[in-house]
Amino acid sequence: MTESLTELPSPAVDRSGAPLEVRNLEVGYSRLSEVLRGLSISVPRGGVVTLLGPNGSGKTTVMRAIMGLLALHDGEIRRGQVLLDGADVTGIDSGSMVRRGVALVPEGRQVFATLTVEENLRSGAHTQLRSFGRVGRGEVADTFDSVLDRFPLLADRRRQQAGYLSGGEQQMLAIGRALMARPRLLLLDEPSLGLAPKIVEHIRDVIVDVNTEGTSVLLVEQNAALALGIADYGYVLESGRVVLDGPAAKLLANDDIREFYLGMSAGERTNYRAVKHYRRRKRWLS
Amino acid sequence: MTTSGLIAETYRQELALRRGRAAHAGTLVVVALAVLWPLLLSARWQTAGVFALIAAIAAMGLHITTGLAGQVSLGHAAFVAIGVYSAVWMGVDQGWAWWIWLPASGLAAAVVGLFVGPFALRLRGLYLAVVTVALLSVTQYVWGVWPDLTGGFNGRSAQRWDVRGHSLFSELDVFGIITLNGNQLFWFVCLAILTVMAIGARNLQRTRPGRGWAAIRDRDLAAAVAGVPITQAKVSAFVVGAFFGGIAGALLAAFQSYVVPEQFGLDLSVRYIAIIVIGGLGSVAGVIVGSFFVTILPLIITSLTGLLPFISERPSTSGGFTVDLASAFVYGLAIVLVLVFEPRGLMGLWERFRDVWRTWPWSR
Repeated sequence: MTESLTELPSPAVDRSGAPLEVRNLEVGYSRLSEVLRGLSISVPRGGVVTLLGPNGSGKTTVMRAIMGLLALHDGEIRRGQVLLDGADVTGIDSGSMVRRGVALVPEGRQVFATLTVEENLRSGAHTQLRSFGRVGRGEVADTFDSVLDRFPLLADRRRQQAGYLSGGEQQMLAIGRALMARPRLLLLDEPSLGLAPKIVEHIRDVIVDVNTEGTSVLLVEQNAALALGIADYGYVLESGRVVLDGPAAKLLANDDIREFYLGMSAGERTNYRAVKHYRRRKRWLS
Repeated sequence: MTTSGLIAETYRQELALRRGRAAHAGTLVVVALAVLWPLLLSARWQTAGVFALIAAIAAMGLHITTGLAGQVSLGHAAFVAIGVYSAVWMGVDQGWAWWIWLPASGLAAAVVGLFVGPFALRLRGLYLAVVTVALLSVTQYVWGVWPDLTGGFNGRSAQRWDVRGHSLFSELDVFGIITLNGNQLFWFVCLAILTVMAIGARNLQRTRPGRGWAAIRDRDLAAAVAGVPITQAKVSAFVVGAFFGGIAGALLAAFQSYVVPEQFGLDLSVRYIAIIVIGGLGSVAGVIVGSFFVTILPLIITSLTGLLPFISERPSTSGGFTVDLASAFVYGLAIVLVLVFEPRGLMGLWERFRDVWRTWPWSR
C-alpha cells in the first residue's frame, strides 16, 4: 500500500534513535468507527516531521493517541504501539507523557479563557515544579522569560485575559504554554488554522527556532506548503493509513502532492473537473 | 491593603486568605453574627440556623465536585444519606464514641465516592448527571430494603451525641457565664466543624489538585495537555465532595434524632444544587450564604403568611400555596435571576457592590 519515496534518510537527521515511533496503530471511537488503520510513523531526534492529509484522515487522532487523550474523546487504541525512546507508552495518560517530555499544542488552541496570559503560560509548567523531581522555580522563570522573548506580543498582553486575545495571539499562547513544559518532542495540531499570513510566518519561525534548539517536532497541517517548507520528512495520510511518505523535498517535488496539496499542476491552474475526480487520478490509490 | 484595594498586584496578595483591612473588619462582623445568632434568636431560628450550617457543609462537598471540578452531580444527597446511616450504625447500633462515627461516616461516603468517580472519566455533563441520579435511586432502594438499619419507610431514631457523658441536647453551663441549650450547643459545634471544613475547602482550591480541578472544569483538554492527571483529579473531586457530604450526614443524624430514608432523595440533591448556584458557583463563602438563603427562606415566608394572601402555613384542601411550595417558587426564581443577571451568585452581587463602594466616586 505504502509507496515510499525514501531512498536514503535525509542526512541531517539520525533516524536510528527515533524518540517517537508509532507502529501499526489502530484507533477507533465509541467502539464503532475505525479511524486509524495500521498507521506507522516515526519522528527522529531533532527532526521536524509533518502529517498531511485531507479532513477526516486521522491526523488529529494520531496526536490524541500519542498524547493519551483518547479517553477524553471516548476513543481507544485497539492495536499497535507507541514507543517513546524505545519504551512502550501505548495508552499512557497525558500527565505521564508531559512528564516524559512530550507537549501538545491542541487543535483549536484551548486556552483558559478566564485566566490571564501569564497564568495560562504558567499552567503549562504544571509538571515542572520540584514536587515532580524536575526543576526549581528559577528554571521555570527562565523558561517563562524565554517564551515571552519568543512571543513579544504575549509579553505586551501579559496581564490580559486570554479569552479576549485574537485568534493568532491565542495560538501563540497555546504554543508558549506547551513550551513551558520544556518538551523534547513538540506536537502541533494545525497551528496555522485560520490565522493571518503574517502570524503564520511568525509561528513558522518559532517552530524552526524551537527545533534548532533541539526539540523534535511533529506537525499536523493542512497548509502543506508551510509544513513541507520546514519539515525534513512528511507522511501523507488518507483514511487512517499512510499512503505516501518521504523526505520533504521529495514530497514537494511529487506531482500528486503538487496537484492535490499545493494546488499546482505543471504550471496551469487546477482543472476543477479533475479535482472532482481526484480520487481516481491519485496514483497511490490505484 | 493594596494601592487599589481590589486587584492583587503580586502573587503573594493573590494567595492571601483575606485582603486588606476591610476584609478583616468583615471577618469580625461575620464572627459576631455567628456568635450572636443562636443567643439572640428564638428556638425556631436556632434550629433553622443549625440546619443551614449542616446544609452548608454538605453543599461545600457539592461545591468541590461540581463548582470546582465541574463534575455535575445530582446524587449528592446519596452521600449525605450514607453519612447519616453510617453514623447511626456506628453511634447507635454499635455504640461507638462520636470521635469515631463522625469522621468514619465521612470516610464511608468518600469510599462510595471512589466508586462513582470513575464514571466521570467517560461521561460528561448531562450523562454524568444521569449516572449520579442512578446512584441516588440505588441508595434509596438499599435504604428501603434494609429496615434493620434504616427503619424502612417509617424511619428510625438516630443517635444522641454524648461528649464525655454529656448529651449535646441538654443544657450546658459554660464557665458559669452562660447556659447554652441544646440548639445553641449544636450551633457552635456545627459552626466549628463548618469553619474548619470551609477553610480546608478554601485552601484546597489553591493547592495543586485544586488548581487541577479548576483547569478540568474550564478546559479538560487543556488540563490534560498541561499534565493534570485527569483520572485522579476527577475521582478525587468525587471522593472529597462525598467526604463533606458524609460528615454533614453524620451531623444531620445527630441533630435530627429521627431520620426517614425519604428525606434523602432527589429533592435534597436539587436543594444543594440550588445552594451552590444561588451562592455563586466556585466560591466557598457563596456556599454558606446560599445555604442560609435556601434554608431560612421557608421561615421567612412562614413569618410572612399573615401578610401575604394565598399562602397558608399548612396545606389546605382548598388549594393555595403552602409555605414549602412558595419557597420552592422563590428559590426557583432566585436561580433563574442568578443565572440571567449575576452568574457569580449572591457572592458576585456582593463583590460587585463592594468594588463599587471601594472605588467610589470613580465607579459608576
